[in-house]
Amino acid sequence: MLFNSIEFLFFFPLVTLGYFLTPGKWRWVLLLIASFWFYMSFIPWYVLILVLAIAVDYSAAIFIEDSKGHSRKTWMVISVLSTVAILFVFKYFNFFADNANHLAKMIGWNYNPIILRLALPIGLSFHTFQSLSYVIEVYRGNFKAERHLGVYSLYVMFYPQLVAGPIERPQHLLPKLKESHPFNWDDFNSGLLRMVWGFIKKMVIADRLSIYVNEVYAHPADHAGINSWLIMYFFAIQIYCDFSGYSDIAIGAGQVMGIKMAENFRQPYFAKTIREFWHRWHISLSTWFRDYVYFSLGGSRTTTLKWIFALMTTFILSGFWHGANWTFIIWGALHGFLLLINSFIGDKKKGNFLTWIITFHMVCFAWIFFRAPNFHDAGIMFKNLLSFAKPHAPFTTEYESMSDMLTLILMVPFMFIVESKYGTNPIQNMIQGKKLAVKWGISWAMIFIFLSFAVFKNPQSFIYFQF
Amino acid sequence: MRKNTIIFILSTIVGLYALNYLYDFMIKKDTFNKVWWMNHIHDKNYDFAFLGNSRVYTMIRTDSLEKKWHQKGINISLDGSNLAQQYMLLYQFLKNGNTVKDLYLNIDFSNLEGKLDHELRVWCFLPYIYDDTIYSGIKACFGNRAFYWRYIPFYKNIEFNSRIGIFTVGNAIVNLEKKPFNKYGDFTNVSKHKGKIGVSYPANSIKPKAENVRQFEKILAICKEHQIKLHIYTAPMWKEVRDKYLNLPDIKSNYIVRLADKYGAEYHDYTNLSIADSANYFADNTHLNLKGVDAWMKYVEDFKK
Repeated sequence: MLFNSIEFLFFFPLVTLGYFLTPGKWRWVLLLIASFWFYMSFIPWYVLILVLAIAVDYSAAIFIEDSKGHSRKTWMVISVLSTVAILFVFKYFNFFADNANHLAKMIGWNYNPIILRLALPIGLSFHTFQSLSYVIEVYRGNFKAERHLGVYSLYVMFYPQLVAGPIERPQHLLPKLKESHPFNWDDFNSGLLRMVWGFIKKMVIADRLSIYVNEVYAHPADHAGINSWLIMYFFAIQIYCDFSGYSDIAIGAGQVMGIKMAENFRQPYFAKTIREFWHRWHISLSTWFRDYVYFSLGGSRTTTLKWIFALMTTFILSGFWHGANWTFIIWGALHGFLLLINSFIGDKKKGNFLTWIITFHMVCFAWIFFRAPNFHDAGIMFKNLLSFAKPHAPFTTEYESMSDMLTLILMVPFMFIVESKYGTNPIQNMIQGKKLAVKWGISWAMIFIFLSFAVFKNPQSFIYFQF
Repeated sequence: MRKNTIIFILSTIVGLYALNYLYDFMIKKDTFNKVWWMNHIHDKNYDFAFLGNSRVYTMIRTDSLEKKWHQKGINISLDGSNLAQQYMLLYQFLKNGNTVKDLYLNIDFSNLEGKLDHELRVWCFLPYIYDDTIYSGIKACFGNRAFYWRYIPFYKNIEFNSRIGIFTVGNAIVNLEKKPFNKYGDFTNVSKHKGKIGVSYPANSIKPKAENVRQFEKILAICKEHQIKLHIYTAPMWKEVRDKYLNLPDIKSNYIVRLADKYGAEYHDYTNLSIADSANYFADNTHLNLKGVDAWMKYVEDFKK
């Protein structure tokens, strides 16, 4: 079930209403059932994978807590390996099999590679990382193992963040799932306004941009020169609005029930250095890699060589987390490399307008690897950027109309200006402390913008659902 | 806070009703769309009219027929329309007090099996959904969605916001988007070039849908009711498209000719004209280019012989 589907229009109010009508101690049951329903609306039987991961990590955490000495580590390793194994089978097996096959062919060894015909369970990378975070925190003694299987299951499956995060830490989310949240009008209104803003970003901007981006990436050779530059910027804006829009909807949906989740974005495109970018982009994932990979490899408090190794490994793994494709690995490596340069030439210095321009363009160039299906197409896109040739095909598609372009010209600057001024929950922050008439006026204006400009035809899935 | 939130929600609902009314009012003023343009034509008497989909809209020159026949005519066809929508067009045309003596209806064999819930043109009719006949026409194709469009305030304008939304309301005021058809309703920008045709089609049989046949019969019935002489024809199409239909004779005799006879109409099949054999006449597989229209119009001019 997509957030931008008609089903969610019924699902969300019903679950929210049910949540507040249910006595506090039973709310986890309702949320867990709702989360199962939500997840099973994609591929029903894949819920078994989730159940398996929950069972393994729930038991392992208790064993870790109840054990002493070496066996604590053994349980942790068992848990991590089994969770990673699930990820490997569904997401990475074919990648390794394919590469092994290529390698074998290069040395003249022909064999029939094993290819698994499995669809990737939606949001697998997100909930496996959330489970891993829980087990590691219990192992490190930062969090007590959750003994309530239902509440732990809900921690992994909580529907707003189940398929695309934010990847929550147990210390942050688990206690909130156990608390009884009385209905609070402020949270309710604020959560709804956050959702409206998320829907505006996703359905007004990202989905409209996707029409152009998909067209050009489907036929990159036809779009040299100005088209490829525009599409490079378009995708940068699309992926931000798509993913941060999802996060806004998820955080808002939780907040309506009084459950506040971690922030995932803080206007990343205003970053003046790559380091700053990574403090603002997909925060829950970047902090996950920082805490569990980068620090584990020694972080920055080690020799330069080891630090470079730690940094590059972290970013390459981060790229690989996004998808089993060399383009994602290169995307991650590129960011690691840029961060190295950033650290060597001026880590301490504050950025300026020029560094902002450079940072933004570096990020945009790297997105080409992220979006292109393969190196060949990424290469064409880069070649097109350097070409002044007239595009072979018109930039616009048959879906294009003047109204679509006008909407983008108005809404993209509007979104950036509003977020830079009012932060992560801009509508709420905008109306805070204002007179009732102004509050209502702004709220109506935002609802009107959404209803008037959102793309309702053929709802587009969220980009990060594939991860 | 609770009181304010409830008042906010209620006033939002009232606001949606107001917007619904306002948008419909403004959009109906616009004429860049064929359906809306036709609804500005009232109490006119025509000697002949052409009805159908894009194969009439782009392939008929009403002005030259007026000159040739010394009669007054109009092209009330709509590109991308199905039979249900063509019925609605004719219904509205007649409801507005217009009359016509001879109606030329192009029927394509594939019209009988076409998808009913194709959204391409339904939005044109949505501002008129409060008319019971229009509503039932849309409901026949779209089922419960028609119910939502009619009864949930502003829902139709939200779902089709790029078509009947704020930009269209704006256009009704500033009149920026010009209509692509002339004062007779004929499309004015017919392609001059030979298009991509000749794709070989797999052999196929038409499977008529009961609802399409029902809508076809409704057109026949309304013509009889208004004493309009109906001439049904099928315009030329690229021979490979025509020949892919294995059960063409059966479709012609069992559906088109039989129903035409029942309502006293005549049918002419022009798909075997020599035009259909030359790729130079086509903009694509089913639409003639400028040269093709020139050639086809010579046959059309003979309709009245």
